[in-house]
Amino acid sequence: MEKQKEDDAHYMVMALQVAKAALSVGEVPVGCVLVLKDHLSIPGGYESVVISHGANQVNATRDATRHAEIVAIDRILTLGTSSDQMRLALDTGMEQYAESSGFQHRQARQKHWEDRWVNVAGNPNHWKNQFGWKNKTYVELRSPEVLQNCELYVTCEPCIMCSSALATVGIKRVIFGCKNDRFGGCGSLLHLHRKEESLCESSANQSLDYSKQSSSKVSQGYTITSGILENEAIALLRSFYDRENIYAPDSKRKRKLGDNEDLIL
Amino acid sequence: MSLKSEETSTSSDVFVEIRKPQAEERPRTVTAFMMSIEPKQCSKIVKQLAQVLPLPESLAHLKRVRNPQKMKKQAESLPNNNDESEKKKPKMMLQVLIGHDKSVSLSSFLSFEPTLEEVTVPGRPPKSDAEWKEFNHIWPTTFLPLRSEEHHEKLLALNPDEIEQMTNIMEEQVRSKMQVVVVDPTDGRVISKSKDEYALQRAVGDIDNNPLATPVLLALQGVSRMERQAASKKSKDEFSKGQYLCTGYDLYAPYEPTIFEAMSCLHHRLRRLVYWDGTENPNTVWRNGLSRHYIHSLPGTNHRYRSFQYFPGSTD
Repeated sequence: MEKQKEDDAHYMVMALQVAKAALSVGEVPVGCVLVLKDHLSIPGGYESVVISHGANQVNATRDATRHAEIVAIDRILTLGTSSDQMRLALDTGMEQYAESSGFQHRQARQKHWEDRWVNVAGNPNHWKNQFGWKNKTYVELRSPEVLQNCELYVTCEPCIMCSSALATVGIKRVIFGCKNDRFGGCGSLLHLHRKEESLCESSANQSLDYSKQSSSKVSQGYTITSGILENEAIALLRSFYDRENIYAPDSKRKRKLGDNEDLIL
Repeated sequence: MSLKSEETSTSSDVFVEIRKPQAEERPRTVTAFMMSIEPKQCSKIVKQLAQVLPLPESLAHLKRVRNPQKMKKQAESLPNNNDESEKKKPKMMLQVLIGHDKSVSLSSFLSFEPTLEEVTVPGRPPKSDAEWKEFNHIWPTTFLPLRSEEHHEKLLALNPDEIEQMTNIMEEQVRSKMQVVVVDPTDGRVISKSKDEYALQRAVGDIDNNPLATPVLLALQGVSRMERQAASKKSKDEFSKGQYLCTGYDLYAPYEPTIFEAMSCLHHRLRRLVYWDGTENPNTVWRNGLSRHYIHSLPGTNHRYRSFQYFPGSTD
């Protein structure tokens, strides 16, 4: 039990590091690490290893579904086909924003921006690059079946989309920091971590046609643990929402493009 | 799964809108209490009641005062009314609605102790103009036409042009090709096709290894691809003019999306989702994201969209 608590804090610190990196590139600071534990596939005698990690890439891909959890899964299974490989260059849109607002954005002017998505480009031995993701030696870890032995550490409760995605890949356990009151699918709005009740067993919706459901797969659910380094996760999110999202369309902004005199990014 | 039940409200026979069942409907009439007062007292007492004893939310659609003589005249003007014989004209009194609670104390601000009488009143706001007229014969009722259910239904009804466009897309793009498409409803243009995006992603990675790369997700990602092209100044279409995700667009699918897919559409700011329940992927979980879980209309989320099931065999 004590060992699990230590593990939870250890890996949540890593998830927070990933989230901080997302903040530095203008994304909502939610980060996660995918940890394989106590499994024969684990190389080198380790008890557990981080096989993938992810942060929001919604702005960078212009894809609202690229949340941290989806990115981490996409990285381990496809080497980032629908996330990293779709990302725009970091300064895309920044120059346009700077021109239209008359605001000289420091980052937009920085041409040789370090790629902070992987954070440690050029260091293959860093924990982010060591196993699974980005390491060609461990191809066997890039299998959907491996995810069924993984635990996901994420700074904020997975939204409904991510909670059901985690059920789809059969994740074993999800550990999160703060709750997601607006979109959370692990207890806040829905309980998608629980074992799914099959339509055949349901007493509700008697008018539904069950004939096609008899052989359908249902989610077996996954264990959740909440509140790990919760305050740190909340503080990170606050630091993002206290400032303007420069990628949001003008109609969604509190401050319009013309009102930039007091804009602090 | 075939769904055509009381949970849904029919916008057309071919496209049935998926709606979350409403909470139990309020009764048409309920019992309340009123008191009779002389007309000269009315203004003062109504002002005091508004301060001290406002009508509860459940009776907020009712006016506070009823003139029984006026109501009787209205009733007499109704056809098939069994009129009573001429009676001696009584002293004119007005009736003031108090609420549901008979034990309420009114003596603190009234100079007399009123007798409360039981009265039947409309239990909910009228749904239509016709119902409003009916309710007014029971107790004077407020009616806001633009907020009525009847008006709301009119606004939501699909017009023949929409039905024609939706049918054409379903038949020509979705059912015949078994793909998911995203369409701009203003001109019926197909913006993104799941099969095209699949081919593009398949060329750079093994997306078959990812169970989350579903047709609905791929179609949404096709839209994101266009937005990225516009952001990097490689196109001059509407995305360059500020098109944001799938705002204003409709998605058509040959199967009902799962919760995962339905929530992805919500994140992508979809306008409408139309599906034909023709196929099913047995390897997905949390299916029936719309007809069972109503992900498109969850309370509290930052966006909602309308969803329809297509019944190709039906005719209007």
